[in-house]
Amino acid sequence: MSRECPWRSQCPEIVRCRQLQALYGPTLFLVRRPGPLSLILRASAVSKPIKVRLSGRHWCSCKTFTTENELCVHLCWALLRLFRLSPTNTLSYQLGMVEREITSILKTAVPLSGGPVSRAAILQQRLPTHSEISKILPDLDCKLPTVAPRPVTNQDCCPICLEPLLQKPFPVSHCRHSCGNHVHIRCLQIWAKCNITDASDGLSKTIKCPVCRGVFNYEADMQSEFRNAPRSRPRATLPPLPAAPPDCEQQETGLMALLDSLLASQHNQEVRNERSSSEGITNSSEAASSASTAGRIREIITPVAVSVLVRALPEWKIPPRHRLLAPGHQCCLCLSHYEAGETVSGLQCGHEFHADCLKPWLQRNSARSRGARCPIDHMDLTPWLTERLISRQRTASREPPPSKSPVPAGANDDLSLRSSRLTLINRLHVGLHPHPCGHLPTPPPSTCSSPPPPPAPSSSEASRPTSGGRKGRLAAQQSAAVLHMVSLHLPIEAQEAAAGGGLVGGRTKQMEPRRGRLSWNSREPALHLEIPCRKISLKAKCQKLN
Amino acid sequence: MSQNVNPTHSRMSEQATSSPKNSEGVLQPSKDNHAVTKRLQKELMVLMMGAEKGISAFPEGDNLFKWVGTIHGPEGTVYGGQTYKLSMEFTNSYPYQAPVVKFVTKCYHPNVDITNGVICLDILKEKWSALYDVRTILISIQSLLGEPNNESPLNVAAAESWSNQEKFKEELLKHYNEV
Repeated sequence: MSRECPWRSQCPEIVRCRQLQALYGPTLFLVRRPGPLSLILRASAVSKPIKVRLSGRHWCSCKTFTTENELCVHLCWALLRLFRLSPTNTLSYQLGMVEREITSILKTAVPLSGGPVSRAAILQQRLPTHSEISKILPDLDCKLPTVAPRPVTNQDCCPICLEPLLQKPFPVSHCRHSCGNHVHIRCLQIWAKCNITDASDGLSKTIKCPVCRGVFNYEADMQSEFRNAPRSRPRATLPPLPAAPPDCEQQETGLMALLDSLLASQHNQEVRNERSSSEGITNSSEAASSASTAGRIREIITPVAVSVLVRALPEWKIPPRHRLLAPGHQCCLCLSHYEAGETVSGLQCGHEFHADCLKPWLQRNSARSRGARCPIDHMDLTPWLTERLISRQRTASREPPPSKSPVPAGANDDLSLRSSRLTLINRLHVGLHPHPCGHLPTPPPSTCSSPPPPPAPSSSEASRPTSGGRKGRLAAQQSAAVLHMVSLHLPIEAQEAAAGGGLVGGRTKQMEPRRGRLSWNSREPALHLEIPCRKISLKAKCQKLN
Repeated sequence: MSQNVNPTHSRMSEQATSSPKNSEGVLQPSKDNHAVTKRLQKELMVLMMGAEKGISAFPEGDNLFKWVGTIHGPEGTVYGGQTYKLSMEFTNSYPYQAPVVKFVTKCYHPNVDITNGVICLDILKEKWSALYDVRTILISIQSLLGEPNNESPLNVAAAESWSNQEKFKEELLKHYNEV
């Protein structure tokens, strides 16, 4: 009796890896057994069925076998799992079997050396553990096969703390060698300390999976993953922005200053309108209406303002072999790993995210977090983004011809634009405090909460003395600056943001101020956003001309 | 192992004992306390929302770290129609370490100590995983009642009489006190 295939005394390394994969990797399912030695397997319910035949020359219909003509995972699975051959048995890695060997594995389903074994004993026969195999095969320096992470859905929660995974931007790690389930890294760090297996088996230490009790990961790999995972402590910071006055309260961000200035002028406008229409309205109702509109403006403007600001986010594509491709690095918003070619945004605090995840997140959470903030460490990004936006605008505005500028042409306009930008920078940096060396009249250094000094007389109609006082006038001036700035971007942005909202058409055609009180409709925010903007900028223009 | 730490005395006991786990600073009680409370609250919510048949659990008094569980004996076994109370004590290192679960009601069972109610169950000892919660522990104990592991008995007399179910039931009812 001669062999169809030559006898192998050594197991090729690739076959060893496949044997391990068959033993510990994702399981295969025996769909049908047309004959004692011919099997139909499936990896999952949707995958293509694979035909396997054990004979004088084993055969499998999979691509690996047909191209390499070497034992594939399916054949290894059939030999090791179905016929219960031990990986140490020489038969487990032969390309074919003679009749005598086939009869023996069919009869006993144990290696030739073993005696006949009862069915119960076969059922009880457990698989060799990884450490046992590594003892038998010390030369095998092959790590367990890895499994792909399971996609994270809204229902998934961390098995340790039971918190939904996608709710908070905590980095996760998945069971790399057994089940692919995700666990919070912060939970896993504590779990790993209690559940490391000894290094007595000669292999590197492994960590037990809390879900499947399999090998979650090797300790060394795990530690590097922990190191790479985004942390709330910033790792790298860009050079700091020009420092604000030390006594200034930092909570009041640039964006809030923008909103407040808008608010103050809106208040002025309302007061004026109400006084002209009916004198009998009491101060208390004015205050109430202004407070309610304050909330509304904030609700409406913050997302739009942030949607303008996110344009300034730096974006870059991940090149191949970049550090972000190492295990552990992940986008904390979608909890998936980076892949080469994906677009990533890096923030001032050193955290990175998918650009497609970050922008919607910032816009969605802008109202709650009062501006644009890093999802991980809540660092305020508004000043940084404004700076970038302005510098980008500045470089862009040098190039194009003046006729294409959305601002009406004129020498005065160009000058006012430049000064207004500078004002904006100052204002955004110092919060509510105008910078001492700024273009605005310098108020005495005081805290944000202190009452503003009495208003200076002004020729402009806009700065009629109201409850806002000097702050109101100041705000009107500044908001003019801000809105010059924003109006350069807003028409495009608002068109997108509001999907057919009010802010369409050239700015020059909208010079006619509208009469009457402003009506607020929460359904069409862009329309109403545009009204105060235009009025104020117009008003400010008049003021400048005067 | 600092498994049986009373959360209120955890600081003292941590200073007193110098086990390797503690010296590593792995399980900081003050830091973990909030996380443990949060997880226990979630588990309580799950238990109260989903009406699991035959088991229930609720914190004892104001202490969220001490629960009282109730198990109905599985139907079709000698324990059918009986109700057992258990005490569950959670440590500050929960869910990284198993809670201490004991029978309060006297339970005549091969794997339960009749005198102090200690349960011999692998998932409460070396097979513990952070995935287990109050619900799964109670379900496991409920199934343990019907399917004892007679090979490593804690109550040898019960393990020997298990083969004779009628005699076992007689013995069982002698010890059983209605809750």
